[in-house]
Amino acid sequence: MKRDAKKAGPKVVTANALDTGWVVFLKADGGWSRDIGEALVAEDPDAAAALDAQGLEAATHNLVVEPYLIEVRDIDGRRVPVLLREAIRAAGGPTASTLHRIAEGAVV
Amino acid sequence: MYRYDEFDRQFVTERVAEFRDQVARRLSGELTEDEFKPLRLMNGLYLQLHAYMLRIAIPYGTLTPRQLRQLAAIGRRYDRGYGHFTTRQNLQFHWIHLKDVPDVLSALAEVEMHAIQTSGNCIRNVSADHFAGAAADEVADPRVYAEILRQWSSLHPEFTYLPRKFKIAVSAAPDDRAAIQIHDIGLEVKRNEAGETGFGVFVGGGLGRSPFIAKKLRDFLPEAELLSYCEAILRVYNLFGRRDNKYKARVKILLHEAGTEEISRQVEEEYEAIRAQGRLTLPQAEIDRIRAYFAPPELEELPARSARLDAAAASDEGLRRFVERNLVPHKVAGYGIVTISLKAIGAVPGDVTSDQMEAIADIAERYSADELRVSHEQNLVLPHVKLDDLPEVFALLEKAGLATPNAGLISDIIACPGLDYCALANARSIPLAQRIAERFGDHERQTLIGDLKVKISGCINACGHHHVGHIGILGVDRKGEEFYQITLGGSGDQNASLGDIVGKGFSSAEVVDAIETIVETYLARRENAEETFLACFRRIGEAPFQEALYADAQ
Ligand code: SF4
Repeated sequence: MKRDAKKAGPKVVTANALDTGWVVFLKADGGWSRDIGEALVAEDPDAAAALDAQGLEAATHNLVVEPYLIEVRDIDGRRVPVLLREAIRAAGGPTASTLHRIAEGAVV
Repeated sequence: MYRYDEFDRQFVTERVAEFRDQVARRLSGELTEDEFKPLRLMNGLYLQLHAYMLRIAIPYGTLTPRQLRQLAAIGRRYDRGYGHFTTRQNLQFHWIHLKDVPDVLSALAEVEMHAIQTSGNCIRNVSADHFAGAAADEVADPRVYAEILRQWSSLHPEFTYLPRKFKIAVSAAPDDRAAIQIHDIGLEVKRNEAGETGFGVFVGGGLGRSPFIAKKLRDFLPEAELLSYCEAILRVYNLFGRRDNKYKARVKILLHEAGTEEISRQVEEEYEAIRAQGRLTLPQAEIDRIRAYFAPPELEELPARSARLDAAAASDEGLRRFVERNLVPHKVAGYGIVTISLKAIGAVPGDVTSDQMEAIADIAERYSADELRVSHEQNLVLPHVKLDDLPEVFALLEKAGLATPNAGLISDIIACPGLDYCALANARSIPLAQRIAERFGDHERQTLIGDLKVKISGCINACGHHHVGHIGILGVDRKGEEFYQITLGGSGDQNASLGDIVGKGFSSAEVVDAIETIVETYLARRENAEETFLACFRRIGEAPFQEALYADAQ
């Protein structure tokens, strides 16, 4: 995984939980949440590097798999990932429902 | 159908126990992810965007109702109540928890199923014509040979760590429904003039970043030589296939770089050496033993037409449409092969709920001689339905939401999981398939358009077979936005061809309109209603489509 703490802009650490595989985000207390809104945000490159290191450390304790930093931004007071891939992950499931399509672009 | 022998049973049971131990050690922290990952992949377990995904092998696409019921139960208990059929005739569960995987594998083993050879650089699960054992046009049951290949390849020590994955497909009809020419080895079972059975052998097909249609190495390989020849191909590949660059490691690249003649020469040389030992020559008794597992069901002698079905279809528009599109001739008079479309308008291609799986299992048990098939087009098949029973079968399918009469039509779209699930994706496939199906959802309109295969992949790995779609769509990432590149004129059948890129890509907002422009261009230019999209494209070429798509830009 490419580590891009140096890029400007707010970031959070995401990973997949080891037991369920679900998408999780690193919180300020060192725990993990499925809600990106609860994630600890690093506002500058130094804080991002520290957060990245904290994520990697957590992976060694077998709670999560492959943690990495993602860029986020605020839209109408809601924190959302910059990349579509991460927006889909943060939504916790596919944008298409099992049997019927939900509104196009629901997560973006 | 093939039943496990003692050896198969013991092997699968031991594998489950071994993986149970590995999962426990991973959860306790004894194994790191780097150590665990190759082990889980050998058992078909991937980590995708949202969760773990377990890919279950369905050898040559043959399933029993009992197995489907077990899959339904697993889906309900360990997943989210549904499964997803893939273009490799496999089934994927997308929401499995790591701790549950050993129990899921145990449950699969109870019905003689597993997830081995669904991942990694080995010979993958062998695929076959989904109408096998029933098709009116087949010369033999291709599953007999697929099963022989499965047994030979399953634990082959020499071929467990190949340069890359290796895919084999078998077809036994002039109409190639198994897309054999886009596989590493494609086998066409045929008869020679003397009436002997043998194989046309195609090698080096494959899609992905560098797509190739396979080259024919042998026009007629005698039946008994199947394994000797395949082993020779694998040996040459294993020795000379590139291991330094995974994008160049498939046999198609070896063939392309060294030339068909040179590879053919090496294969023949190796083959002669193997044949001289006689070790792999198939004894007739062994072929017969395997064939006995695939003995056709006992079917009644019936008239070719069913007065009962004709009468029912005359008064039921829905049934008439279903018969027109989803029923094909069976080798036995009075029977038909029914395609269960997993492409209801607006549904996710290949998804099926546990309730639906159970409904299908019931129908197959009662009306299809206890047999089912999975197609690489992400549909299910009832191979042996009595035409007289079709009104009941149709009614039951309709009740389960499974009677969409669109087999082979524009809304019968192949779509890979794409960016909704897949960690490698650039763009979403499923919502696009849904939007296209909805745009063309009107039955009259689809029927007017006729046979048209749309295939969508969310990245260049091409799991959605876009290169061989009559209309192929590839999702790409353009500066963080989903874009779609369209190819036209691809085909995966006996006249296989790779689609041509029509021009610059389209944004997500534009792409459905672009497909409509292509379809309207075809309708305006076809000679008559009998000229299919593919035939029309091959006659008029890309230019009219390009003009229609890009006229404004020029
Ligand atoms: S084609 Fe790409 S996006 Fe689609 S399933 Fe395959 S790897 Fe994933």
